[in-house]
Amino acid sequence: MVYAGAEHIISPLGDSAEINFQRLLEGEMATQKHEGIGNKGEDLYAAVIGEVGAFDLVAGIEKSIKASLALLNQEVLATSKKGLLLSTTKGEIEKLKEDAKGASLLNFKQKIEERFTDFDNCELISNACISGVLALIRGHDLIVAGEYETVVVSGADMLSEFTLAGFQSFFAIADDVCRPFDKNRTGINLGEGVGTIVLSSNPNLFQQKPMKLLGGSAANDANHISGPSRTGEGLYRSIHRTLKRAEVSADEIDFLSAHGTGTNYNDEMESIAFDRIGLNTVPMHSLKGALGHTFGAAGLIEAAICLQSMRNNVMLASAGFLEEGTSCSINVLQKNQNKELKTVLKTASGFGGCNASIVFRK
Amino acid sequence: MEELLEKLKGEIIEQLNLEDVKAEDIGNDDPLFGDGLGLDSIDALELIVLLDQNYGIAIANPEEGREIFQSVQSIADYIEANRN
Amino acid sequence: MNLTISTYCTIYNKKVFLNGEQLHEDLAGEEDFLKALYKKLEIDYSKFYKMDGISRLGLLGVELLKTANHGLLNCEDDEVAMVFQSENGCLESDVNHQLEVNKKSPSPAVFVYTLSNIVIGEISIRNKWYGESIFFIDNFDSNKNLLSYSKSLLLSGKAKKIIAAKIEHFDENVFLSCALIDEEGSMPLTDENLKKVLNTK
Repeated sequence: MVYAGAEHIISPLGDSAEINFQRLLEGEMATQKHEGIGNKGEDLYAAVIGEVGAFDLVAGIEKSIKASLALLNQEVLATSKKGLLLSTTKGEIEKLKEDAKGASLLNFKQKIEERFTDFDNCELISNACISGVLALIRGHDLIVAGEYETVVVSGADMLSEFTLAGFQSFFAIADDVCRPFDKNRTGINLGEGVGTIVLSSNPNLFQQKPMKLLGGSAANDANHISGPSRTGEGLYRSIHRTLKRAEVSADEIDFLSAHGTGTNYNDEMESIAFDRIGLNTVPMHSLKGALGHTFGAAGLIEAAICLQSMRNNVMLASAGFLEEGTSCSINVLQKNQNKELKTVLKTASGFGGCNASIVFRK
Repeated sequence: MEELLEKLKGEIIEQLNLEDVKAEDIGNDDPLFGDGLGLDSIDALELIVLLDQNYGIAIANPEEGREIFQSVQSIADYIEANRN
Repeated sequence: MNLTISTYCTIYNKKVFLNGEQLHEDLAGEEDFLKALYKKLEIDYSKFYKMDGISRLGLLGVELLKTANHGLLNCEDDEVAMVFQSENGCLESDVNHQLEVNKKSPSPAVFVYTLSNIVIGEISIRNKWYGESIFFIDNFDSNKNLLSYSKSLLLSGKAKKIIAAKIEHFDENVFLSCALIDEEGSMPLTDENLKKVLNTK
């Protein structure tokens, strides 16, 4: 069995999973209007920690991993064979303005590795917006294969002109705070942050009672590199395989943490995939409205919130959602809701047609 | 108009990397998307970039592109109508 | 489970090797080598021209594997997994996009390639493969992730065939090595064999 816990989050709302969960519960929004941050000086909504392009990613990851490690039993940690798993889409992309090699992901990986020399190995996954969920799947599988007792999974990305301008060229940035799954959604808000989760086969590693990660699966749409599948094929297959492997049926899912970017086609695709699997009535949310899209960090931040929800038996509202706006009916939460959460599904989808899903159990 | 149509065909081939297509293969009224040239959603966005860079015409909403980018003729008509 | 490397291919320095044998030597003088190889392989797939370098390279590598291994053509659509690794990933497209951003005129067709896993997406689309995939960033010399994830996918039943690849397309560094890992071959899947097949420059 693989246990998951010691979750940590850095976002504009604060530094720790508890603080983030609490602020989200209170309806706080990290997404704000920022003047002149667009490629042609446009005002855009985004979730920024300081100034655009100034977030120190290496320091952020180091801080988040150390904070997660501090939530473990140190004697158990000391004897645990442990690996480090990083996820990012663009790493220190802001450095590209000076020199290409400075922005190389291999450099970024090495900088983190140097700060955590007591780990047996360090891997970096860069797989678009599913990087974080995929890293959790990889971490789970590494432990099941017996390679490590413990894997620390940390994902981070920064907001930069690079990604803002790119999504602007796709006309994919929302005019306002983004509204995942809403009828009047106009696109995404970008964000930045770090999320860390510790996985281990040893439940005694955790100071607080851990949840179980039952595993996951990834699948490709085989359709288009930027346009989501019209049938939700890859996401459907990913969830189908994840549930089958975990021996969990769709009606056992108590809560679904969706990807929900706020773009017309992505959210439509997700609704179709959820409908095909039979998850229409399962309460769900997207955190992109409150936290923005944090790319390689998103899967970990959102999974960390899932763990917090399971600990507190509270499902958070889907910020920005007012009116149903997908062709398949789904149960998007407009208000926070209490519910005993035993089984939770987390999904992600990204450019390159990639999709991934994982399932947690209490 | 004839000159603009030919120029546009060359520009479209270059901007969209349609290396195996020749200008004379594209009929003025041939559909660019779907069964015609088989362009996709990224191509549609690239055509917006083309109009902006080469003709100074900004399209604020990609939905407008659907009408404008039906054929080389419809693009040329739009340029003629909107050029300063 | 008896895991093997059943087919392997390398493209570098304007040379192509399939299962250790050099092919298409006549292309060595071509300026745009990948385009020349694409034409030589008689692949009718015009999307190729829209792709960035790393995607072109990866797509051609898999096409070559298919010419030597018909099992790849006849498998179920979710049986093939792709486990890719690179030092630079999509850095070449990153540089190109940043230049456009600096000119305040970003191109969506360039930006879309600024994710390292797009090459896997292109191969999935071309072959209608819906299987597992992952993109690692690591040192060229290390095969640790490729080997361990390939094994884990096969042993857990998540995939029946793995295309494990090392891929670079940045500046002068153009290199692809890929191996088809399944139960069908004769070369056992070992550290040493994988090194021989993937790390030879």
